[in-house]
Amino acid sequence: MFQQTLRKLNTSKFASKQNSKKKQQAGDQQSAPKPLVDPFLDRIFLQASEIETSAKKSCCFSTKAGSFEKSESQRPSEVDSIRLQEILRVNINFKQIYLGVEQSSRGKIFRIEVQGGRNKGSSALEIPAGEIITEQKLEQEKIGLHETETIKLLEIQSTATPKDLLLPDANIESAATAVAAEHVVDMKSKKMVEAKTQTMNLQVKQKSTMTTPLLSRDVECEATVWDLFDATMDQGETSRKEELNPKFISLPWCETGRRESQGEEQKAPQLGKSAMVIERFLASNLYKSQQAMYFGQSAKIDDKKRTTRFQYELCPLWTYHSAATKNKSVLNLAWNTTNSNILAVAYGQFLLSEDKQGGLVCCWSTKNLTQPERCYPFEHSVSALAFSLNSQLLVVGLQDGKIIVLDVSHAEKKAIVQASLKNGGHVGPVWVLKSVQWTHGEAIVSAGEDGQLLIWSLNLSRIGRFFARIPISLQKKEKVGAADMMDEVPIQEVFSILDFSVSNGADPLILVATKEGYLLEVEMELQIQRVVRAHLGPIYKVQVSPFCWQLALTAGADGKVLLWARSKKDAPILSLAVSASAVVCAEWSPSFSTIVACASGTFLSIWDLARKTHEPVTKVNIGAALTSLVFSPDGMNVLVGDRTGKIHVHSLQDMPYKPLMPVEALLKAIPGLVLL
Amino acid sequence: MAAEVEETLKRIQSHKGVFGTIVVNSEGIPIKTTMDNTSTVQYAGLVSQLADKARSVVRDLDPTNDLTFLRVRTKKHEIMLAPDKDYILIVIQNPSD
Repeated sequence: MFQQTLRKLNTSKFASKQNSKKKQQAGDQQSAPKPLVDPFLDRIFLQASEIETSAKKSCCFSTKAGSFEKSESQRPSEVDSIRLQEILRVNINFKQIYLGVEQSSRGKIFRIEVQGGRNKGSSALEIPAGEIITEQKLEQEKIGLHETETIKLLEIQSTATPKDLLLPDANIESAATAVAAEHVVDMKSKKMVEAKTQTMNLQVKQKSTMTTPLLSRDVECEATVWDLFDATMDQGETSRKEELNPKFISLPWCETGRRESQGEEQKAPQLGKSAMVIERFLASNLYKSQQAMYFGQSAKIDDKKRTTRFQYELCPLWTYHSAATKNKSVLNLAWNTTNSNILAVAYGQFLLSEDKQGGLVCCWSTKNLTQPERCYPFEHSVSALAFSLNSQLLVVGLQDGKIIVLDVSHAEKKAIVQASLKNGGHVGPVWVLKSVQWTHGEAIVSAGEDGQLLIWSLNLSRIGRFFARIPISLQKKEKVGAADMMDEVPIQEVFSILDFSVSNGADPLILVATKEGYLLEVEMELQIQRVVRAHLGPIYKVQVSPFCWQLALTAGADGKVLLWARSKKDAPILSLAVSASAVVCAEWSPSFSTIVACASGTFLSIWDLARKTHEPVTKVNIGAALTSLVFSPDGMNVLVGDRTGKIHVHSLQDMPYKPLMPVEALLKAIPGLVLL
Repeated sequence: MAAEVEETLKRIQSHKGVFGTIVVNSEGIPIKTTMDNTSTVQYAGLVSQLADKARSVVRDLDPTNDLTFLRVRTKKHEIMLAPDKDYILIVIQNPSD
């Protein structure tokens, strides 16, 4: 059958001969055989003929075989080209006809394969390229037809569940329940299929109504960087924005209505602080030059007067006084340990015979010269005070023997701890308070009229005690400098301590000054090492030089200031005749090793041991009886308190340069000073 | 507490050289004043703006910072202001030198 067909291929277009059996109505064109192959060998030119695609008998094949038609455009008289290995579609009986060019060992050949549908055969006609296929050739060749494998071009799976998959024993009516029944299925029957159904396309209808227009309002707000910062800070806190800010009308000063005071209450703490600082500004505006001189900011160097003489001028700067401090004597002055601008002053009665008016502790600042920043009243005169090393606490000693620890950070008097006679305090006035570094930390040492030297911890629990007890036997021996005095019969053993000083060095000692003029050298274990009769009257002050621990000064009521050295046991190495009246206070300068300031009577005198020791280098009459003296922490200013409650501040001007080696300067200044 | 503040303000007012003290609330309305009405209103309005501007400068440079005091020294006198979020305290002084 195929061969029959194939024989008829000779009537195909490839053949040049016209075949009368052609059923083409249009008729092929008589044309010369065209070469089948393009010189490029990849195209097959087929002569276009009038192929009627509609008719199934366009081909040269017989109708039985079928016809083939080109799949390409059917435009006649146009050279069509069919690409390599193109499949020519053939209908019905023949599945495929391959018309292709193949490369084979014999060169390019044409291969015409017609593959039958049902018949699984294919035969190929191989025509070498370049040849003109003739009828004879065709007959020589045998073409077989093969069936190729089925190539699936499109597969759409069915989504319908075939009925025979449903379980026979279930009474199922719809597919839905069938799916539900899946879950009741036995594990055995695995005839399960995922089923999907298409839903109904419901008609959608859109409907709209008119509403009232929404009211909107534009609000603008500017948020700066710090607004954002504030917001994050306030997140945890409750917002205080709800606080009412009542609108006050402008009211003059004297009318303080209730509403105003309410408003004040709310702002009081901050307002108070700001007001305080503004007061400082106001004061400093008035005292600008004085403050500049105090802080050492205005050094006037007169170029013309370049002499080598230093005048050691004491320039009066200002006075600390206020209404509250009137008629009270300044008994003690103490600088704050950390903030060198704060001065605590103890006010009270200087003489025990004065009327008891009560005492006062004021904290003055170098920035506010007109008003004390803190004011704490007491019932008794305050005789001693000291700042603790933790600068917030101020330890105050009263005339009745009480010791109170105050917190200076509060404006109201807030006594933290208190020690009185009950807890082992003093009998009689507390004369000295000092804050020292003890073995386990800080300790407060107090000395009083009763001759006790008590050591307290910061919470005022007593740690140690020392009695200034001098056995009578010792007293008899040490009667230095009393040659022309009446024979003194010692009657007491315990002497009141007026002052003490700790000498920290290789051989630490405490020097204790007593009311009878005895200077005691006490070891750190609180044992008396030696007793010296220093002055004829009470020793008001004893201080170890801040530069040399072996040197100490004592100021006594006999108007003398004596210098004592460790090397010389029984006598002072230097004596300064300050005045005829008692020297109430003397102090070493904290920055100048050879300068001593003395206050006696109404005079403030500065002594420079390196210059002269027979008279002071400068002397100033204050005008009121002086009671106490202190240097400023930088040593450039001197503050003296008097009996009227004023504190005079003087600045030391025109001073020589500080000695580079303070101890050497001292050695040079004081002949006879030998360091151990 | 309030009495102490009152006392401090009174002291400020009687300080040497001070010719006016004004306390302004956060909205710029003077609450307390010792000057005449016109000057008070003038000072309050202008100074509030100045304080706000100064504060915004300080805070824009560093949001953790804040303005505490502002002193404006002029030829004739000195204006000191202490701004806070609830109030502004203004003191005008004529320093003697």
